[in-house]
Amino acid sequence: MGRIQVGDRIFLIGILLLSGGVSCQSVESETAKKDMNEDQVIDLMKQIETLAQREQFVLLSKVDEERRQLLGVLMQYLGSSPSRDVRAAAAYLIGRHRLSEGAPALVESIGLDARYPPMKGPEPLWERYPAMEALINIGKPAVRPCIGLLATEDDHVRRYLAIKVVRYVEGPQISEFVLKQAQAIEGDSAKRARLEDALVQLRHLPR
Amino acid sequence: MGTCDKKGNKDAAKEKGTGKCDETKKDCPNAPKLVSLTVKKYATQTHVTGAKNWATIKRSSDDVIVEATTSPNNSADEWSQINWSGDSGSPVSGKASQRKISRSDSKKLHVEAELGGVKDHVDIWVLWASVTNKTSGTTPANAVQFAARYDATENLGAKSYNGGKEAVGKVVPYAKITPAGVHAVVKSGWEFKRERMSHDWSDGAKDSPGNGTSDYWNTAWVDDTSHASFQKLTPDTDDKIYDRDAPNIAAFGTNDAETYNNFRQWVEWNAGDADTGGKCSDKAGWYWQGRWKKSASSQVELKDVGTGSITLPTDSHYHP
Repeated sequence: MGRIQVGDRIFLIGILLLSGGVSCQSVESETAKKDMNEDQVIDLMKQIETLAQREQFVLLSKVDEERRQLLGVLMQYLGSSPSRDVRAAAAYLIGRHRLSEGAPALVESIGLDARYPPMKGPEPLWERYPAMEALINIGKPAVRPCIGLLATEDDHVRRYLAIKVVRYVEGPQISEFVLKQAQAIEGDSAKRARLEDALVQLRHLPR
Repeated sequence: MGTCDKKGNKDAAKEKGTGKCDETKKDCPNAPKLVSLTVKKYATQTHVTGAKNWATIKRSSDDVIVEATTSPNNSADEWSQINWSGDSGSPVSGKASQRKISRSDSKKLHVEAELGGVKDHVDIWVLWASVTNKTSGTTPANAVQFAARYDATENLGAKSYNGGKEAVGKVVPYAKITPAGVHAVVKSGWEFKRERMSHDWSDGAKDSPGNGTSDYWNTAWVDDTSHASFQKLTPDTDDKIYDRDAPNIAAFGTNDAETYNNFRQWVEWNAGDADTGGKCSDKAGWYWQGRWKKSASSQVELKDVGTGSITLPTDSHYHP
C-alpha cells in the first residue's frame, strides 16, 4: 500500500513538471508549486529508508515509467498538435528533460518553424527551431539520428539544422571526425554523397 | 565508585579522605559534561550539507546565537564551566549557555565548546557573493552555452546576426561566492536576480510607459530575472553560479526602434527566511543600447553592451 502511495507521489511530481512547463502560472503559484515539489521529494526520500532494497528499486523504477509516460504524451503533442506553439512547447520539454528516447521524434520534427516576430524581454525558451535546440540539449544521443537524417534527407533546411545539432553537441573538431567516420563506413554511394555534402556545410559553421 | 561533591576534585577528595569527587572531572560519573552544541538563531541548515555545518548571509546585525546543552542538569552552574574556543564570539547577557558570533564578514566560523572532556563544534558559513557581468571574451564553460543561437558562437558582447537585421548584447553575469569551498556545503537555495530600467522608442513614441514587466519606458526598476533554464545555480568547484542574457534590437513591428537599458544583477540565498537569508551580494550594473532603422542598408545602426550604466536618454534619437 505504502509503495503505491509513494509511487503516486512520484507520478504527481512528473505531472507537476509537465504542467509547470506548458501552462502560464503566476509567480505566487510557481512558488507554491516549487514548495509542493520539495515537500513531495522530501516525503519520498524519508519513505525510501523504510523500505527493503528490492522495494526501493521497484519504487524508484517508477520514475522511468513516469518519464516514459511523459515522453509519450509529449511526442503525441509534438507529432499531432495543430498548434505550432504546443508542438514547440513539447519539443522544448523533451529537450529540457533530456528525454533521449525522444531524439528520433525530434529529428522527425527538426524543421518545425516556431518563428515569432522579434520580441523584447528576457531570452525566450526557444528560438525559431525548437526541435533543433531540444536535440542539442539532449546531447550525444541526438547525434546518431541526425547523422541518419543527413545520409537520407534532401531538404536543405532540415539538413542544415541536423548539421548544427552534430556541430553543437560534438564541437567543431569532433563533429567533423564523426561525420567522416559515418561517411567512411557508409556503403551506399548516394548516402555517402549526402554525408560529404554535410561535411562541406559543417565547415562553413562558426569555429 | 564513591560519591561526588560539586566542587571537590575526586583525587583531592580522596586525599582529603572525604570519599567525594570533583564533578568537573571526566572520570566522575556525575561530572558536568557537554551534550551538544547547536545554533539557536540566525543560521540555518536548510540548503546546507553536513551535520555540523550551518549557513547565514553576511549582515552587520543579528549575530548568530550558538547554544550548548550540558548534563546532568543543563544549569547555569554547568554552563559557567564550558570552555569555548575557536570563533567563540562573546557571551550573551543572562544566557550563559549561549554565545553570540558576529556575521559581519563572509568567512567560515568554527565554534568549539568543551566540558567534562566532551567536545563539540559547529561551522557557520557566512555567505556573500561578488557579481561580475561578463560582456567580452567567451561564455564560461559552466554557464549555459549559447550554442546555435544568435550568431552561433560563444563570443560575448554586441553581435549582429541574420544578415545584420538583428543584434543582441550577449552577457554572462556570474557570482563568486565566499567563503572558499562553499560549493561543497551550500549547494542550493541560490537565486540570481535582475532588474532593468529602459527608455525605448517605437517610431519616436515612448514604448509602453509604465513600470510593469512588459513596459519599456520606465521610471523605476522592473523585474527582468532570467528564465530558470538560462541559469546555473548550483555552485561549481570555483564557487561560482551563472546567469545569462541577450537583450536584442530588431524589427519590433515598426520603422525605427530604439532601446536604451540599464540592468542590475544580484544574488539572493534562502530568500524565504529573513533571519538567515535574503540579498547576498551588492548589485552590479550593465547596459545595452541599440537602434534599428528599417530604411537603412545596414538596419542595426547601434549595438552596444558593457558594464556599468548609461544615462538613459529623454528624447528619441530618430525623432527628437
